[in-house]
Amino acid sequence: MSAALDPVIHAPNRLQICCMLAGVDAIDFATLREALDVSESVLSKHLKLLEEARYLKISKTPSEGRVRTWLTLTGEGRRALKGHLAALKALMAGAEGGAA
Amino acid sequence: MNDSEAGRMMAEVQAANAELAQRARAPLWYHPALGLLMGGFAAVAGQPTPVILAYEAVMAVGLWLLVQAYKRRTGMWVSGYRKGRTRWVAISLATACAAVTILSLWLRRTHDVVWAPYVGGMVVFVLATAGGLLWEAAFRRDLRDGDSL
Repeated sequence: MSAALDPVIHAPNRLQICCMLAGVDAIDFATLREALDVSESVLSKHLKLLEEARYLKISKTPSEGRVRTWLTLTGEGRRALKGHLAALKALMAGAEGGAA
Repeated sequence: MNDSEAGRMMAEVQAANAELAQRARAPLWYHPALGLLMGGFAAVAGQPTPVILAYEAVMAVGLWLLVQAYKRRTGMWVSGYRKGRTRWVAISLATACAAVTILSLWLRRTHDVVWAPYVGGMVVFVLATAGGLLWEAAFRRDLRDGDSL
């Protein structure tokens, strides 16, 4: 696995979205929006980018008379996140090694 | 990107995991209800087939309702066998509950211990309830430690 920073995940909100999705099977749009404290439009833009990169799967299910949007990290997204986090850790380890 | 930016990004990751851990709490009645369904399964194990089949139908509906309640409350869904400490808790719990159920059924069928499945059911209820709470604590700990991938 190459430890390179992924430009799709790089933005702080998208990194947080991917990390939250990595911890669960699925999370719904409203919960994610509340957790990140961003507007619906901002979250939608981030999700669109992640979906276009095939890092994210979006599905809709009816629930109590309304439609709930569920988000799932794909295998590709999980691998990309793993690589991105490894790159971040390598950067930090390199800095610590340089300072020593 | 420099090292301080990388450090800031990792702090964002930790914040996201902590936020998720905060939200990952099932309703108070969730684990006892799950324990009741599992304990009931052990308790009816020695009954005639139609009773077992009827209970399985009730259990399927009960499990579906529990999943819906968990999703509604937390806004997320998590597999019990997800990677991390949680997987070990789930496997241990499933093994222990299966062992108690089989043992009680064996006592009922081979030694005619009529009450064995009922005691087994109570043991499974306690195991499943405590195990569920333990699983949830392990899940939150996995999230805080960033052990999600």
